Amino acid sequence: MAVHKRVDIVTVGAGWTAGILAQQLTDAGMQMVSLEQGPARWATPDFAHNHDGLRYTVRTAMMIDLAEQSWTWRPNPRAPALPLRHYGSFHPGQGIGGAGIHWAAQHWRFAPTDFRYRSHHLERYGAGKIPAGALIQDWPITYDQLEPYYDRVDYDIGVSGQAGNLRGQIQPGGNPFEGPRARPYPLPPLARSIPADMFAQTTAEMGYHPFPQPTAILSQAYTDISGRTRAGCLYCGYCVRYGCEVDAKASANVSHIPMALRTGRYDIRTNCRVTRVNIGADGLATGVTYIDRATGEEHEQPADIVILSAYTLENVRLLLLSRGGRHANGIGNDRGLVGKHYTYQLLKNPANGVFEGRRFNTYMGNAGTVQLIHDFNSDNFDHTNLDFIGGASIECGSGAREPLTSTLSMPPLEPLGDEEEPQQLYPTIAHAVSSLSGDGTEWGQAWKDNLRRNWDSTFSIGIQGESLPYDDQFLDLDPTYRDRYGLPLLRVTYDFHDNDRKLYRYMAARCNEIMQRMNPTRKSYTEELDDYKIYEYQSTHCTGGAIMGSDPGVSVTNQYGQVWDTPNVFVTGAALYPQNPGFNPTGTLLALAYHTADAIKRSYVRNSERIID
Amino acid sequence: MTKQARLISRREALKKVGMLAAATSALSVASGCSPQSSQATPELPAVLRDLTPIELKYPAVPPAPQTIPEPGRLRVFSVQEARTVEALTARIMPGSPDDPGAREAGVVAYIDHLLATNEGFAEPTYRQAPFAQVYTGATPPSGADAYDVIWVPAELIGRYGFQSILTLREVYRMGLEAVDRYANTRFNRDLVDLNEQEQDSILTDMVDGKATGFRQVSATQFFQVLRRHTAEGMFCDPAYGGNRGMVGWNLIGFPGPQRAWTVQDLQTEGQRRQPQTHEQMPPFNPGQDARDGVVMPLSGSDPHTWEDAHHPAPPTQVTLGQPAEGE
Repeated sequence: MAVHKRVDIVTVGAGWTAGILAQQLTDAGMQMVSLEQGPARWATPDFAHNHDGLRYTVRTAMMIDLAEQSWTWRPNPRAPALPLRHYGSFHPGQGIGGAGIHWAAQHWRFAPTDFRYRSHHLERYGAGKIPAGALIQDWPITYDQLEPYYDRVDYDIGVSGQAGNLRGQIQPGGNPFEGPRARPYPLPPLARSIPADMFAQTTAEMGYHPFPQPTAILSQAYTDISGRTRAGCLYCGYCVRYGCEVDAKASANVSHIPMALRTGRYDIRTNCRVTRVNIGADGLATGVTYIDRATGEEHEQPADIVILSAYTLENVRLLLLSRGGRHANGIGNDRGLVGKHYTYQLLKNPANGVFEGRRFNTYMGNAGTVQLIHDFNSDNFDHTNLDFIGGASIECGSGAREPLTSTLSMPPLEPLGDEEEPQQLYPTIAHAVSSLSGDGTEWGQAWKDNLRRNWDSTFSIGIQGESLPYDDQFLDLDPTYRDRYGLPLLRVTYDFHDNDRKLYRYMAARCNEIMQRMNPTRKSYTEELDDYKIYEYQSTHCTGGAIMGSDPGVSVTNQYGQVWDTPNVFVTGAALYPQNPGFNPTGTLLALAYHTADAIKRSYVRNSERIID
Repeated sequence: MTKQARLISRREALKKVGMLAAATSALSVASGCSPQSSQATPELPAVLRDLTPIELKYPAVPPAPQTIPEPGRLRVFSVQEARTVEALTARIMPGSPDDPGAREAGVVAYIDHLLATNEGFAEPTYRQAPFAQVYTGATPPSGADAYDVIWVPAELIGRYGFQSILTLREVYRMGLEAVDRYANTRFNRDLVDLNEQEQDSILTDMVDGKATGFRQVSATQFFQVLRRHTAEGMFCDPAYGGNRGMVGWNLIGFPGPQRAWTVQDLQTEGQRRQPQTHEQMPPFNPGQDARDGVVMPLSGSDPHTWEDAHHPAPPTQVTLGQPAEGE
């Protein structure tokens, strides 16, 4: 086995958080290596010619190769777990920049009450309001403590948006429910699409507070932390699941990673898959073992600090796979808490409208040409007389609509009856379902006429809703299925719960009211939340499994992602979230990466056993 | 090989050579500009020197074929299978030479090419055993655990997505056999020998799950496979053999891949541009090169003027319903 020269820090993965940490910590003089399972890729030449919907959207070219490793899923602990054989529910990327290359770049700060979720709900509604079995906690950090880091992210990467709360002053046109921000966004919002404009007008008439989607896509040229001036968005319509050829979409590749590479103290090794964190006799990590995918050869990279900065599910899996010595059940798992608090989201489009004769250009633009309301997100509305807790953002006007998938899920010309689907007696055959497009059945001349007349005359109103963690949903190692290297896959146990169904029903009714008011030629409305299905794409917003907290008895890490029982191991990303708010998770995990970098800079001591306070 | 295909593969090759040359010159510039001796020049990190084309960096997903799959030249389907798929997809998306549908778009050529690639697995796929089997009733059949199988109750199996042991190629073989079996049960003839109304009634029974004689590949699921691949063959980039002459994009008013839209484009209804294929997109090299930091923002330029200047060639038109030129 090749043993490499010891470094200060090794990171697993070279995505968003690894990039931020590498830039911050190599700048402070540390030697770092990132081990990235995927290839190197950059705007030029890799994304210069990639507007191929079949390859990138339908066939998910830039995602982790499932032939090498997958995840298993079951709805509850009594049901069998089966592997994800084709992509569905989520899309973790591989390659430098990670999923932060193909992301939608919807960029948020969580609401102040999201950080004190448990205390807030107990204070306002009492313990009886919290659903049975729900595991909710306060974060070990408050919005106010994180605000300076949020602010840094906005200015370092270039975020477009309209401030709603500037140092306590509510700003017209912004989100009045957001926490106070020290400065406005560095860039104005992206242009809004026609459906977004209709949505904003309608919701304003209804007394709600529409505002533009904050987006880590430049609305005009901007000079980021690296000193480079990047171009504004071209609204080309190839955004989510694509790399941006003009670097208008922020990523670690655009700013932080080139800066770190320039110091000469940073190295990224591509096509290297980390298989475990190595543990010394004292119980501390000594580095990582990885496999060079090109040769199959095993390598060891010794390091003083190990940072798990891969995708949520991979970070948790690596903690569980790293067992031995003092950590018989895996690193961070001395108290059996790794894998707990796993949760996800409700990302659905409850209302679809068809507006005959109109042409909305839905193939242009991106996820930033959207307008939203947060009148029903977080605890921005009184839940006293409602049968659920939590909220959802309601949005409209996303672009980049791909004909390959959207033609399969058009609202049909003639509404389909609620016919019972035939019972399935065989496992689903290859490609029988499209993870991106649902199971429409319209065909023949009606389908063709519908597409000709209405393909670009339709849009939906969508929700991004909270889904709480519960004691019967968690992550652990699968007893049956293995990856290419013989290591157990991670098993996901997750299903929608009663609170999700009630929350959905309420939000779907709001979406339907708004759509109704826009007066479509016809509309479809999904009143009730269907079962969670692993093959239906929702979002890549899986959270929890290695949560942060203020007490080692109820959490895996402290507020810096430092693992309580193995203090020279850090975890970054959404695995740290005690629960998952109705926002995209990335903005917060970027701010937390800066927060962790500051703590390491401040307190780093070689072979430290010290918990940073 | 068609004239168009030859043109594309030559362009493709030129592009790759050009890319290498540009990268090489950037490298030499980087070392040449250094005021220090070449020995003191730090070597560029390996991740900035990786010149592998993006297609090869994601081998699980094959790149678009070098030459456009030709209609009529089968690689997987038998003639009978191809005619059956053509008949079925042409009912799912009907057409005529004046109003092209699946037949005119080349959907069969698209599917045949897909099946020729890795048995139809053109996306990341986990294929390790054990595979699932479905049971009805309270418990799996007795003796069921003698084999390496995961037993799943019928009411749950639909939530797990693709779980079959079958390859897509096998799905088509078995599905098409079952279609003809059912056509013979109902009409005593193969599907291709039925009239359109009779073919439609077969498809209706498949959608409703009433078609009998389908084993492992259920009628409803096979319909979904056909419908999805009809959409792919109608609306994919023409490089994949479907959407010939961009007839699918013209049908729905999609202009194909474009480099840029202005804010005015985005916000003005009824925008129309002549569709273009992926290959016809103008070459593009603004923005930053990770190696040299050159920046050339493009926002604000008029894409119409820009396009006219750089993209004078009209999109290639293939005579609808006819073999492409040169065959």
